[in-house]
Amino acid sequence: MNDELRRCWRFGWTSLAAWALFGLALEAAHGFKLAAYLDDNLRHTILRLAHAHGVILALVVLAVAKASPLSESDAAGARAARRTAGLVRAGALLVPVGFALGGIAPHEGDPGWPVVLVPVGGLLLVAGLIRLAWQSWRYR
Amino acid sequence: MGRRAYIVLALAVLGAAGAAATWSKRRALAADLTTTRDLHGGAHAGSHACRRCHPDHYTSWSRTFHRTMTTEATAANVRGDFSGAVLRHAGVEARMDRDAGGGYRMTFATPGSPPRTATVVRAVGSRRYQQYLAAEGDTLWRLPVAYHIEEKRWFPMTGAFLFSDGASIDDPGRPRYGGGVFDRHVTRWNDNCVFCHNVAPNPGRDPSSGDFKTTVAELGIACEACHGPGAAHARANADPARRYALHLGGRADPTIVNPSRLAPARAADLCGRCHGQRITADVGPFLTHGDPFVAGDDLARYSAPLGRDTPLRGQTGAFAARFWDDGTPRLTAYEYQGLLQSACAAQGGLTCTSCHGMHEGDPRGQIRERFAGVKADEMCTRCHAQLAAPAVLAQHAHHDPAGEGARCVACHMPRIVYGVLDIHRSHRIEIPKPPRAGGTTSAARPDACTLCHVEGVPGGQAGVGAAISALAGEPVARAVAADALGRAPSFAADERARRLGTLLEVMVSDRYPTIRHIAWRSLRRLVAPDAAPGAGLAADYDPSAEAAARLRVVTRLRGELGRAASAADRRAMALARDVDLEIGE
Repeated sequence: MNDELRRCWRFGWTSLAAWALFGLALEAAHGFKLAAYLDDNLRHTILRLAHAHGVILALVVLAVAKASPLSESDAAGARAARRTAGLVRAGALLVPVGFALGGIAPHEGDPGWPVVLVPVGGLLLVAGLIRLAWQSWRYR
Repeated sequence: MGRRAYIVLALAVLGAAGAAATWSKRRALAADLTTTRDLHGGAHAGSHACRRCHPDHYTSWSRTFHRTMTTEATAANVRGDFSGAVLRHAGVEARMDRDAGGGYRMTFATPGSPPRTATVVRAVGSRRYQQYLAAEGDTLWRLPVAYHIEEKRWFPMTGAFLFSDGASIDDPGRPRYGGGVFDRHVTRWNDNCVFCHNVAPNPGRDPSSGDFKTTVAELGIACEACHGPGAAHARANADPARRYALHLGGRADPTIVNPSRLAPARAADLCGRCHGQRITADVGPFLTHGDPFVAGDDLARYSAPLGRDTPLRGQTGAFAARFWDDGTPRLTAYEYQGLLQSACAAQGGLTCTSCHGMHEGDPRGQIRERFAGVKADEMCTRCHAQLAAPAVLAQHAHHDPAGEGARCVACHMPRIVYGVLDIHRSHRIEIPKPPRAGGTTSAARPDACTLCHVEGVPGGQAGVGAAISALAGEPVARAVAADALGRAPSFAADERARRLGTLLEVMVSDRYPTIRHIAWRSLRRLVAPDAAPGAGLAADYDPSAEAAARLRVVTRLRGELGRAASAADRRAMALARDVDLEIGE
C-alpha cells in the first residue's frame, strides 16, 4: 500500500467511526425523544443525511484504499494519485460535515448556511470519482 | 506556454468570472431586497406552493379551523350525517342523503308542494357546526339546514341566529327550499360569506345584469389571506442565494407580508378585516372587483368598523342591536372593535397576535402556547408585571389568587358576546364596574361580577339573582344570562335548584331557539358536566322543536330532577322582551 492509499485507509476508518458515532447520537436522540431533533422536520432530515453520507462516503474512501486503480509507479503517477485521492477525501469530508453543520440552525425550509459545503464537497467528490474512472481505464 | 501555465490561467479566468458574478449578484440582491413592492393585484400561488419552503408553518396552519372554513363537498370535508337523516321543522321535512354518484344532497318536502332537492357543492365551517351550499347557476346559496358537529345532529339555521320563533322575511330573490320561516336564513354566498371565508374573494357581480362570476384564490382562510399574494414571492425565492441573503441579513422580504413585522395597528387590521364587521361608503366596487384590502394595508383606507351609532343611509340605529348600550360589541366578528376600544391597544400596543398565534396553540381559540392553561395570566402580566405576585394579585382581584375568579380574563374580558350558538369573552379589555347596592351597572350591560355571582354580589343587588333577573331582558342579555347560569361556580343546593328550575323554564318558554339552546347546554353543564354533547340527560331535547314537544321533554326532566329543580321565577321571565334582532350567527 502506497502513502496515498494509506491516507485513504486511515481517513476511511476514522471517518466511518466518527459518522457511526454520530448515528449513535441520533439514535439516542430518538431514544430520549429529544425535542430539538424530533420536532424540527428539516433538522431531522438534514442530520440523517449527514449520517448517511458520512458513512457511505467513508466506505467509498475505504474502497479507494483497497481496490484503487491509482498507481505511484512514477512521479507523474504519484502526483495524479495524490490529487485524485485528495479530491475524494475532501468530498467525503465536506459533504457530511456541510449537512451536519447546516442542520444545527435551519431557517424556514432551508438548512443553515454551512450547507454550502455540500455542493462544494459534491463537486470535489465527483471530480475525484471521474479521475478514478478515467484512471481505471488506463490501469493495467 | 506549458501545461501548468494553462491551468493557472484557466483558474485565474474562472476566479475572475466567479468574483464578477458574485459582485453582480450581490448588487442585484441588494437592490431586490430593498425595493418595496406593491402587492395589490399580485398573483396568488396557493398554500401548496407555500408548503415547499415553509412545511412547518403549513402543517401548523393545516390544524386550524381557518383552513377548513370553506371546503369542497367531499368525503374528507363533509361532517354532516348524510345517511338519510331527517329533520322536521316548521312544517318542512328535510332529508339528508347521498345520490347514486355519492354526491351529498338535501331534499325538502313541504305538504302541498313537490319536494325540492339541492345538491351540496361546498361546506362552510368545521368546528361547532357546518353549513352547506348549493348552486343555482353561478350563484351559491346557503341551505336552511346545518349540522352541529359537537352535538352530532341537524338543526334549522333559524336556530343559530338570535331570532324568535316564527319570524320570517320574504325575499322573492332567493330560491325556495322549504319556504316561509324555514328559509329565513337562506342567503347568497357570493356577496356575503365569500368575503371572510376565502382568500382574495371577488364576487364578480356584473353591475348591469346583477349576475355573479365569483372567484377566490383559495377556499378557506389560507396563507395568502394573512401574508398577501405570494406568487412573486415563491418565484423570487426559487433562487437559493436570495433566500440565504434573507436568512443571514435578517431583513424583511418585500415580496410578502410577515404579520409579525407589522406595527400592532396594521397587524390588528389584518384580523379586523374579518373579525370586525365593516361598512364602506360604496359597496359597488367590492361586489364587482372584490375586497381591495391586502395584508399590511390600513383597513381604514377601504372601510370603517361598524359601531353602535354608525349611520346606514343617513339613519343611525341600524346597527345598535349589535352593541351593548355603552358601545361594547356583543356579537362575535366584532373583536376588532373591542380591541380598538381597549386601552391596552390604544396605549399599550396590544394586538391580536399578542395573545393569539395563527400557527400554534389549541385550534379552538388559538391562544399562544406560552399562555395556555395556567399561564393565561401571562398574557397580561407581560406588561402588568406587578400583578404577577400572588399577594399583589389577591389584593387587586379581591379573589383567591389560585382560583378562577382571580384570572385576568374573568374580570377584564367577561363572557358577554353572542356568536355561533355560544357565549364568548368580550375583546373590549377594560376595568370592570362592579354593581353597587341599590344601583345598576352602567349601560344595561352584564357586568363581570354578577356573571359569576349570579345570585348577586355580597353587598350588591339584594334579593333577586342578577343573572336570573337578566332573563327578563332583551335577547342578547338573556342568552348571556342563560350561559352564566351554567358556568358560575360554587353554589349551594337551593341556589342550584333555582338555577335548574329557571333553565328548564327558559327551555320551554323563551321564544328564541338560540336562547333555549344555550339554556339546555347550561342545564347539562350543571347536571352532567362530563356527558358527551350528543348523549346523556336531555339528549332528546330539541331547542327548535314546537312548544308542545319541548314541554314534553322538560316535564319529563322536571320529574327526573325532582326537588333538585325548584320552581322558576316566572315573574322575572314574564317581562322578557321579544326583540327580533337581525343579528348574529
